[in-house]
Amino acid sequence: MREELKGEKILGLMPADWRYDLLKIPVLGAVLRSRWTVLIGIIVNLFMFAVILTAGWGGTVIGNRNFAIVIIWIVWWSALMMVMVPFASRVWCSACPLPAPAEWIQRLTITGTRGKLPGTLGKKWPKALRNMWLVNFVFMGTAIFSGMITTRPWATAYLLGGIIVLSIIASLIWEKRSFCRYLCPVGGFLGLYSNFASLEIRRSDNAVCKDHKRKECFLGSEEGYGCPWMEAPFDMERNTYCGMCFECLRSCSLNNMAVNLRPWGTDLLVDKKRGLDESWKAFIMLGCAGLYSAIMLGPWGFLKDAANIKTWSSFGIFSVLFFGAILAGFPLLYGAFAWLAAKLGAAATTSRPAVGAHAAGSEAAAEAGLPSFKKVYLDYSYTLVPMGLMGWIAFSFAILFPNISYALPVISDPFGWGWNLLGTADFPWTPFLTGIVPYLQIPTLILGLLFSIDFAVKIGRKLYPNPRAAGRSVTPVILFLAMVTIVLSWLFMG
Amino acid sequence: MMATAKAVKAKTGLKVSVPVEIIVLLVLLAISIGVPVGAFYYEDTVRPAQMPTVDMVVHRVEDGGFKPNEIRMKKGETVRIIARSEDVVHTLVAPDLGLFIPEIYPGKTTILEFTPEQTGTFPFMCATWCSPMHPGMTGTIVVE
Repeated sequence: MREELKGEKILGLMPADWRYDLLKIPVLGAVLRSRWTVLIGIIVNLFMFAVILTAGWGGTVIGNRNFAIVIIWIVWWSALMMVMVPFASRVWCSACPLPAPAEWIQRLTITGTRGKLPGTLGKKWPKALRNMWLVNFVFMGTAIFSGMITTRPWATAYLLGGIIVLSIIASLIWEKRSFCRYLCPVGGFLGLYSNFASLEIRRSDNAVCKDHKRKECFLGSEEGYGCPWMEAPFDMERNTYCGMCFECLRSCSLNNMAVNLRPWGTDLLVDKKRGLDESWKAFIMLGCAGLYSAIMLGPWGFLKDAANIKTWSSFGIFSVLFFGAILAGFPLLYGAFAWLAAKLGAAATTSRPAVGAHAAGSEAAAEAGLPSFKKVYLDYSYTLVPMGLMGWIAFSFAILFPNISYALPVISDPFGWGWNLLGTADFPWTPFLTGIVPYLQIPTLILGLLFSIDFAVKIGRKLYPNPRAAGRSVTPVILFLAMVTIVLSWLFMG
Repeated sequence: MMATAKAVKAKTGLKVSVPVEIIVLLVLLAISIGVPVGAFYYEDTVRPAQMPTVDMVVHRVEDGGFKPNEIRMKKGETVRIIARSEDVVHTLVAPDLGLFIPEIYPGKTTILEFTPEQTGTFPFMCATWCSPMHPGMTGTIVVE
């Protein structure tokens, strides 16, 4: 347990260092340790994705009658954002069937374990790209076509098919799950938002890991592979790159790994391995939540048309605005508030030379014991994570409730060919509890705001040990968070 | 002779039960190949074999109208007409033949079994205003 969590309480209620190891429940422990648990999950999802790809390439072109569109963009997306990420971290990654063939090719086995991975060149991923930047650009490159991908079954099928092909190619060149970690467009935001999740895999006892020289969780053992995600589970502090595959539970011969329930968001307080790549991922996701709400839920037809590529010229303008607003406009706007936060924090510091030092630059600021502007910008950016996730959950309410009834016809007639497998093919579109959607969305956003403010205050205290400076510094950040909440509320409420 | 886990491990460093590995591999292949092949085989071969079938995809006239726009049938033989709209709501009516398919909703497959009782050539058309060029939304049924 990291020192910075001790004594902290999340939202003033939950002790940040509280943990409960689910492996203490004997049945659950056996289930999670079994290789078959993950494999069965993959097999079930493989079946689903076989139907999805068939529907995408061969089914009806009408999205809301096609299994691919309805299951991926209504059911799966909502389940991912509303349930899996907040409650179970990257558990989807463990059962995702898309990179599974690549992993089997690397290992040349499906159910077995082996020390070396013979089916791959096993190259190390380039050092300069060991971050989220590439994922950010891949995600943005995909997101710009979201109007098409979420409505055209063939586009969804090409996206998923592309992920399978790319993951296989990547697996033949680079070691382990390099694709999932550094290229998958879904993996980036799952990683960032999983830091908020109420589940984690961590070592049980620091001392045991310290004395254990073999580091089986990283290098592998007869019972399990070394971490496929190239993490060092014996020293893992954040969920970002933990694929929840439970491999370390199997490989650790000392049974020193735990699957912990924990309060939400404690990883966001861990001042380790933070980076601007993750900050930008937070900007991208929150920006996309706002823009998608405007496009898909808002009354602006011209936006829908532009995103839907009605004409290439309107799509071109839309693309420039989309990229500009998310990659530059939003980070700059946040930057202005972060600059104010740094300025106020320095001004509230008692010694006058310190204020001047901050103005003189990061080296002078460091000498005066002040955090640099970059550090202030970076650390406070993690407060956008709870708000972003809650923004997506609120957005998903508006997608799920009006559209979930489409799931009944498509499970009976997945390809729109006139089948009626379960007798539900003629179930009419029935918007479900749409009247209460805003009453779910607004509390969700407010909850996100409360979490974000709570983390902002805690991060502020770490940046500025002086309580007065911390209080001053966090004020503009809270203002920014409140502003974002108001904008999102306006988009949802209309 | 079936390889044992121990033998395989000694050779390759692999710890695996070969029979289990083969069964799982077969299951995975059955799913990933069986689902698409099975679906298309059933749709393209099994269903049409049960009854003569007319597979019709309907667009606005601007995008192609009825495809096919000429249907051939035999007097007294039941035909299954499977109609799918890929844009807006259409209908298919042939008043002289007594054929009437109400609302062909986009994305929903509309199926009608029909037995022509007279021979001849009969016009059919869309009876729902579906686009500015809706009056051109026509075709022909030839009953032999």
